[in-house]
Amino acid sequence: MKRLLRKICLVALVLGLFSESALANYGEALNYYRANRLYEAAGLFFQAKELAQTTAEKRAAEWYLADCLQRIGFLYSASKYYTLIVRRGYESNNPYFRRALEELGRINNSVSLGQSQIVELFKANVDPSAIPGAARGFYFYYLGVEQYSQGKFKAARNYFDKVPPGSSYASGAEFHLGVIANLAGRHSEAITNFKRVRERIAGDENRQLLWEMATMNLARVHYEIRRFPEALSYYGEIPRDSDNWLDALWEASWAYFMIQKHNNTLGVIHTLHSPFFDNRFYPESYILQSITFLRLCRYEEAKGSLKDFQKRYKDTLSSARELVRSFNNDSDGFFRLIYDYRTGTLNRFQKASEILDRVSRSDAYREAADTIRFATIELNQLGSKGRAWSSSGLQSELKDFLNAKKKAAAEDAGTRMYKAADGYYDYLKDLDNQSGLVLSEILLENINKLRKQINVESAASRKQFIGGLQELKLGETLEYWPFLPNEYWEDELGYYVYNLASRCDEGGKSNDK
Amino acid sequence: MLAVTIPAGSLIADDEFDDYEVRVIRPKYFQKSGRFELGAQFNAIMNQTFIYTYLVSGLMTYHFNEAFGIEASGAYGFSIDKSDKETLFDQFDIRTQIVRTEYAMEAALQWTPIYGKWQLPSGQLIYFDTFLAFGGGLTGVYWDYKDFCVRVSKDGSSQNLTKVPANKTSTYPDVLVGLGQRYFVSKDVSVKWDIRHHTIFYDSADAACDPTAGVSGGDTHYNVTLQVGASKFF
Repeated sequence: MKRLLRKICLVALVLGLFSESALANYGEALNYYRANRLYEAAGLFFQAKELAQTTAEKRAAEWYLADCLQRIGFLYSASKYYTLIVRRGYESNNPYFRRALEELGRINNSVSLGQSQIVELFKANVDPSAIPGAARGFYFYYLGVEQYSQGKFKAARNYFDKVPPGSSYASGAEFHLGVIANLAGRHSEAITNFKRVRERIAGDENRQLLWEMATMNLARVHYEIRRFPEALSYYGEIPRDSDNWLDALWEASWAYFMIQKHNNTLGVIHTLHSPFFDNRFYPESYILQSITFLRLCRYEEAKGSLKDFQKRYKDTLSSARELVRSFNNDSDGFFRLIYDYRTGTLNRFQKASEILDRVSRSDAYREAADTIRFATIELNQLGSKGRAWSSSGLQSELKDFLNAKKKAAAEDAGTRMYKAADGYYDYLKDLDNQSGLVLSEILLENINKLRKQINVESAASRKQFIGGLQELKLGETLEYWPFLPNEYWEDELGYYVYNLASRCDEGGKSNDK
Repeated sequence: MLAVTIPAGSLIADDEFDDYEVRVIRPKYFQKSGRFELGAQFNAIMNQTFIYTYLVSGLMTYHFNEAFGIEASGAYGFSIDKSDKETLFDQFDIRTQIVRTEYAMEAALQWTPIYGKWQLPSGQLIYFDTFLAFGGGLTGVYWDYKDFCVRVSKDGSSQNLTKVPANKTSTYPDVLVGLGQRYFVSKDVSVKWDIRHHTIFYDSADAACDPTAGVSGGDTHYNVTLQVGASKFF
């Protein structure tokens, strides 16, 4: 009995001490906070959050902890606690909900939180009227993105429409509205959306990627509605130093083909096949080159293109097959593979480097690499500056969170990139089959049948184009540079125009057959 | 690497590059057509044995098109004696008749047949053109008769050898031919250099120490100038 009483007294004493300690921590933390000694304050708020007896104090300690972390530059770490607050939903005993949501929106503008964290964030069922004005853009934009990624375009559109025009998420929302409009066949509306995006962010270097994507999409919509010269004009706006430039060139080569500007098509492909872009993945360009030669009744060259395709991609195909087999269900390993490729330390799958390169330029890799970079910076800072937090347990909690964030980013990106790589492998297989079929048809001399299958139009073919996806303007002074075999100049890429006459007679038959 | 510029509109008729299967066709990087070029240059006369002559010149060129332009220029400067001149006087009694160019006002037709580019090891490109100039104008020559009419002794006193006329500046017609290059540092600014050969037709009497000796007739003097400067296009 005495023993029991002693135990009870001991427990009461410990609880009392903890409670007292928690109160002391919270008060002391506030003092440090007011004195702008945020490192010390964060450690103490963390303790107070763990030990506080009242919910109000716990909530306040949690809020101040997040605020301290944000102010000393631990943005991801701060987002952990803001996320906890937001996920609790808008309730009377969660007074920091609105402010936490606003701060998350701000953090996401500086360092992307990543789709997985945001999806978790918005699982809480929240009355939209409870969303504060400053966070409405962030909130509705990501709800829209989530619906969009599930193919629920109508719901996505409703959310994107609710993003306030003054929000930093408005341009992204407008962009998605354009994509949805185009998918629904409302091309004029899509064009208006993409034009608005361009106008809104013109000259903003931080939004250059979005500007380029809006421009690419304007070109694609025009292509889709067969306004090929307009499409070319938009493709021509993509800057040469952009990662999207080669894509713009490649898509433009089809636009040229459709308006029978075959010398321009071949000129663009000449750039894609230059040694500068040995590692870039445009296998279909050989097929387009071949059918362009067919249009010009240059059968030997057409056969040559297909043989070049088979020569270039024979090993790629087998290496890609091995690649997709090796990393099936190993998204983390695939991410590491792509990371090694980007850092130049990969010594496997060299024959599949074009596919690896293509995948490594994807949004998935870029976003994950950013997340990992920012998380690593915070982890390093934790090692050097966060020692004061080790006794409180804050350091170890943040370490776990940041490492988990890195892992989730890598796995998510790995899954998306693997899916893309698998798609590229299938695409290459299809092209390989197509090249074989076209070659057989040529060899069997079923040329006219093939040529008839290539449906092009001549409506816009009166226009003339020079290099660089530019229309010829009257009065403009041009410069000509001859291309000598294997003499590629970097500044000339994208400006090549072939000088080949058609060998077809009026009946479409070859003169050289 | 060199290229020829072709005005747009002649794209179809262009036969300059018919032999090339693949060509680069693009708007010319640096366009001069219909533009004024204003510039300044530092000139040095390179072919003088006994003096150094330096001039500063200003120029204005109107480019009718990419190939042809007309240039007006004015230069003014000074000459410095070389030590060789005194040595010849003192040790060998050789009097050197010196044409001291003081100024020049000239006009020239420019023909630019070559447009090219260099690539630096860094990958940076530099566009240039090469032009020829043909023209003429007026050159002002300062006659310092002490140069060849007075012997200066070592102790500083001088002895008149003839009745020396007063120093003067006379203006004579000249013709010029030149070759130069412009390196385009931007779409409006170029750095340029020229080498020009000027033939100056002067009166022999002006070069005589004794104006009463009845020396008359024409003579020629040649200046070869190296000009380095910059110009801006408007």
